[in-house]
Amino acid sequence: MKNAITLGKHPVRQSTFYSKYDKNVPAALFEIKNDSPDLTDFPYPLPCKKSDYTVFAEGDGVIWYGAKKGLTRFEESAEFEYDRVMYFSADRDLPDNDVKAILPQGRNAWVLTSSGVTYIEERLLSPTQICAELLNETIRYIDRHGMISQKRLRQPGVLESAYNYGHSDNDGGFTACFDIGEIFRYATLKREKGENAPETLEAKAIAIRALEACLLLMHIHGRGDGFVARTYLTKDEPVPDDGIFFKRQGDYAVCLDTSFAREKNCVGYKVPCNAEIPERLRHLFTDEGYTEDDITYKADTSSDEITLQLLNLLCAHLLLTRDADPELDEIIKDSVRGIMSHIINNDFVLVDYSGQSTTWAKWTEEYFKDEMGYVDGALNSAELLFYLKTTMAITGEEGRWKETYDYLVNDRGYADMAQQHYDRLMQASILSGMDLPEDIMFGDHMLACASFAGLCLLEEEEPTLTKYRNGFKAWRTTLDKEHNPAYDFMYLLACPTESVDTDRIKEWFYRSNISRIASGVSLIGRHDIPVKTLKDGYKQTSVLLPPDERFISKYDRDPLAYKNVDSGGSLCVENCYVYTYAYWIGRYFGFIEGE
Amino acid sequence: MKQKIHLIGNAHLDPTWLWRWQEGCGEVLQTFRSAVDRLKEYDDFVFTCSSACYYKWVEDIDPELFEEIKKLVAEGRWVPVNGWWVQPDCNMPDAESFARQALYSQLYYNEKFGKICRTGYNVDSFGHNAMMPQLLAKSGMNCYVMMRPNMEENPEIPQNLFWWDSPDGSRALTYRIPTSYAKNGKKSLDWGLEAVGEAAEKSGHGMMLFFGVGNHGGGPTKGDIEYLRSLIDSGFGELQFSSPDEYFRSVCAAPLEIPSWQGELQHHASGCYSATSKIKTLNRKAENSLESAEKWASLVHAMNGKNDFTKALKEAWLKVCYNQFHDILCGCSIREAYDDAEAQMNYAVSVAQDTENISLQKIGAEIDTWIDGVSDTVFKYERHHCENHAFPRPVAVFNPHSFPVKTAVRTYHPSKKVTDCSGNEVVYSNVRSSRSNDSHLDTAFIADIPAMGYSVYHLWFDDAPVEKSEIKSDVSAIDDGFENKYLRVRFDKNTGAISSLVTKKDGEEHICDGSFIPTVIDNSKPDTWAHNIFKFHDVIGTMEPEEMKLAENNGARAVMRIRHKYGNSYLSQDFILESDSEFLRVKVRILWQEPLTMLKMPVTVPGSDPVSAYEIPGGFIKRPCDGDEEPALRWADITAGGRGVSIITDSKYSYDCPGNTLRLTMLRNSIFADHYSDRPYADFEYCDEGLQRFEYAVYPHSGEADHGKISRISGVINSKPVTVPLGYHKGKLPQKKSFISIDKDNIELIAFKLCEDSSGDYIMRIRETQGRSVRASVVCNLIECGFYADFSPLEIKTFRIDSEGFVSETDFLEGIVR
Repeated sequence: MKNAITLGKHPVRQSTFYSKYDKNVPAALFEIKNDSPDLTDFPYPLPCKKSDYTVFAEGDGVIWYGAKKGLTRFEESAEFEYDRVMYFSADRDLPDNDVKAILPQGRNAWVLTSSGVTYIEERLLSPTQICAELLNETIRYIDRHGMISQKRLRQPGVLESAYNYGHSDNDGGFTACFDIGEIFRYATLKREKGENAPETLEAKAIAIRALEACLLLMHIHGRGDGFVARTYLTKDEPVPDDGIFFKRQGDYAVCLDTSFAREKNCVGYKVPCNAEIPERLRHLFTDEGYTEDDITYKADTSSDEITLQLLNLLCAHLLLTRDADPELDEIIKDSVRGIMSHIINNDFVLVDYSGQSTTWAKWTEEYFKDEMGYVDGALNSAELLFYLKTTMAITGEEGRWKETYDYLVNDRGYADMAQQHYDRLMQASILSGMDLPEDIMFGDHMLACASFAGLCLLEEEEPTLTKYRNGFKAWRTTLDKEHNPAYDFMYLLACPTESVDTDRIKEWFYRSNISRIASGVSLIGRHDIPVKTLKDGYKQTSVLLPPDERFISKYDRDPLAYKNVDSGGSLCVENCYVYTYAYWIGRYFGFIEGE
Repeated sequence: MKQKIHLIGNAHLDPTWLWRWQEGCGEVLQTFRSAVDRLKEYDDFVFTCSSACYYKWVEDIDPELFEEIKKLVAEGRWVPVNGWWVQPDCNMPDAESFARQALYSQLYYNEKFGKICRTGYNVDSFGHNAMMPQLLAKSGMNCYVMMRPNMEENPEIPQNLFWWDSPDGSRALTYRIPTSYAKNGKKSLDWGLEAVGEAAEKSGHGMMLFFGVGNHGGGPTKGDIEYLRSLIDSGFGELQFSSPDEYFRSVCAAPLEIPSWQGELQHHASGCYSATSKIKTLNRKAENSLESAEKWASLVHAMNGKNDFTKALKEAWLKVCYNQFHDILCGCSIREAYDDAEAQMNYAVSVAQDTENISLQKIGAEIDTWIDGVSDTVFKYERHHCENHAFPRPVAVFNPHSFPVKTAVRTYHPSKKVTDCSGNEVVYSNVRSSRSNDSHLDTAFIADIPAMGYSVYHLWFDDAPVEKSEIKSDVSAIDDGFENKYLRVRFDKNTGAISSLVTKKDGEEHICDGSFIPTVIDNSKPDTWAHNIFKFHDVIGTMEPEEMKLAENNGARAVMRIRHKYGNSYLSQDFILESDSEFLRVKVRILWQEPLTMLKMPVTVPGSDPVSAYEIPGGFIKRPCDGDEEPALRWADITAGGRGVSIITDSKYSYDCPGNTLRLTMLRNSIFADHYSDRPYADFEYCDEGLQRFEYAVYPHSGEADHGKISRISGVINSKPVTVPLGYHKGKLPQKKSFISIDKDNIELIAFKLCEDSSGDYIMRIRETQGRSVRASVVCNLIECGFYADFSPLEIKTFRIDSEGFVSETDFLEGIVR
């Protein structure tokens, strides 16, 4: 298959931290006198300044160089060029960057720094095994009523210190992405190992729980109008001051007092909540001992949520529920009908408590003409067409959905507009005087991939399909720089004659972390990475680092970020979908030809 | 709603064309004075003018006027555009030239006016290469105004506003002027307003109308300004005095649906890339010399903290930038202008040679060449003989490229043996020298030189007490030709042409009959530019072979010398096959005395579905094999059926490709500045009359063309390794060293220089040559720097390295201004 890769076992780094006084730390580490290296003619770029390297030690085929600003591992005979020189830094790999001594043990090493000790271990893992480890961490520490997003930690790097509450604005979207990964895992295992293999059944159970959590957000509010909540909290979870929250109380839900609600003048606003929640979904909170009146949900939902949720429903319907879970499949159909009717009935906006649209869920021509919506127009027009195609694919109905789709494509030019992303982005960039990356919303990349991949797979009419392919290509100038396999695979599904950089895909899978603890890395002061300063002062790395040397983030952040301004530092653990989504889509569609 | 018409008051100034530059300077001074006066008289009038060179002239000659202009710029009423030194030809300067056009000009604008230009503006340039969006973006500009070719010349290019994309993803919002850059007088303005008004309503976006007396300067007249004001006052349409900057801001502020365009903007005047070979040769030579010299000077600076030639090189580059002005480089100015251009270009070459020599001698002096037993560190020569016979002469060979080079180099003495720095014998020949005294012999030997570095070789004199070298060469003579381990080449005595060119690895023949027969074309109809003529196919004859002989067959190389004649002209070609070389070099000497003719050298390849590709500034482009005359930089390639031939030159810029035949245009002998005239009698001088020397190479390849490899061969043909004889001395440098290494074949260093802000930081400019994305590593231990870089297809990146070796990615403006 064109663009296909084979992945095998590959060394993955793992650091275990110790106090200097821990009895497990070998005494030899404190006694060893490492020599200072002579790196005068070192033939590769080094992460630290040569004069900063003070110690070195040779292990089994590897040389470790310790510096005042981190640790470097050199393996001249490494199979892949990107494995030749690796960098380890605080606080993901080291307690601090001042390396004092190195004690090699085979291909591993004990490292003494100013404030502690790390044992750096090389584990030979296949991507499937990495998926399993990441999934285990996610299920164990992140799951919140079935929603899979992220968790804050009380202590840096300590998973056991995770709070048992805490939400994300995009719980629905992130859970949907997680679920898609698990659905493809289920479908791949089902094909390869059989429907009743234990791994298949486990994958199915995980996928169904996440699917139920996603679907619950479409009903938890009890509005009965196809609205979708961003997330929800139970009575035992604190309500943060970062959005619009409604507390369910009998037949009404009341808007709580938050800064944003005051700004919107909707504190105390009541909306009905008497529509029933399907029993199949209620169990997610009733099993935990809660009732509807214990629920507070978050509103003001964005188009991001709708897009990712619908992609998930499409995948679930096609690969999971249609054959294996008719009850849930019916709920999917009802839910998607509800969402689509809501959007059409409200002239292509998601309507919230006030009868007005939410802040960011607008797909109208009027929005596309205003200053803010103009740049969004290309993406949002594709999103709306994708929703309609998805609704038709899931329900098997045409009628109103097709009528609306045809109207938007033929009479309102939505498919044409969907091609204009790069044009409008450049226009905004010229107008603002900024550099292009400064105008990029990185989260939009996933939304564009979802919408265009969906449209290209579902549309059969050649002229319209060509427009969608052109629309997808209009995103590649910026997507290309990410070398994100998930994006690349979706692109290849949509545009099968195109090519992507398969070496970079391999590197991405091989050089990812086996934990999603959002610990930091030291980029400032890296000597081998050029820094690029944009017009407004924002800094990026000029070269895309392997994932294990850059910040942990979801798909919605700049992978070239030079400073860790967005992630939760080391007080957060992210969910595993970043890896599992890409891997299982690749496996299912044959872009990854087994292991 | 009526769309707005932006009235762009401007003065198109050709500083050299049908006049010399001194008159052009005067025209700038008068035009700028007039524009200031008009701006004082009319408070709504806005004036636009390009080209930093003009501002510098005014600043130097009339500082009071310049102060007035500075105030008007600050008020936004005088708008400088085009952050380049002049409006250059946009097909023939190389990528580094475009970088220098921007660097010196944008920094000048920033220093004088506190801001740089955001709009590129080459309204008269005769064609625009496909890399322009990137070259503009990296010059700080994302909008562009051009005019040629117009709609009649190329209706496929969108009219009038479009997104223009280059392969790396850069994009420029581009306006093609539909009327003229110099509308003036009521009738002309009325016609222009009607045309742009209609276009505005049809397209749904605003348009620009350019007005003002142009070409020889002048600018907007009082009459024109008053007439346009009267139209504004009468409510005629949505008119406003404006600038290109304001126009682009205005169209971006409203919904905009315009087409996009990938590729180049051609053709307007296809003869411009072959007319007046002298200026083209000088341009290439100046570019090559300056780029190499600056690399060596910067390396020496990195070694010892001295050797800063930045100011001298800037002055030299500015001469080159000026002479890249489209009417000069395109060969269509008056003859006298080329005396000026030659003087200025030679000044640049001379600065480069001085800089390079000082730098290489300094490096050479640091190389440890000492041999125990040598009694004297100084050579004693007497007419090419050395008294020190017992020891070999050390010679350092310097390679200015970021990739290793293996090629024949020459020193001016015969030798008995040549060894490398490890004592291994290398292939050499004693070859006929250009002199005719003493031994008549030079040494040519095969040097293997590391990337951006040097190798020392030891040459034993012919009377040294050593055994004569017996190292075998892979070069040998065969019937009517020669061969080495890669190629077998045969010549036809009847035509004096290559009759067979075979790659030995696969036994494939790469050419068809008729190849390499010098062909004479009628050039009597086209003017100097060849306006409205895009094909040159009127063959009037072929050159007749006069002599063919194997001039050398001796170790390092074999040489077939062939002489052709036609009328009163002759062509002498040395076809040189070097040891271990995959290509054939051809040294050419032409004495041409045939008025209104053109000389082409064709190569026809077998195979179906031919594809032709050409180097353009910073990249390459594939074009249809339709026989149109096309511009190219160092190389062009024809590939058909999985094999092909590249032609590489050190000074030519024009080709055509009818079907399977790629034809190098060697010269085009037009009358100077012959423009739409009936040629009344005169003792005409012709722009390619007389003697010229140049070199081309023929590289046959199996498989699809590897454009990265062709680029590397082009580097060797254009910037040859330099040999520097050394004395015997101790030093801190080894006898073989690479100063800068890059780990990918499709990545090349094109500039290594000191930053213009006197910080002592270094600048590296690096480009991708093959058209594919790649991550590369760059190491220069001399300045303690090693870094990774991601490249998009054909991307040019600029890096700034500080005193501690930390690296930032900038653009042509070196991070001094963003």
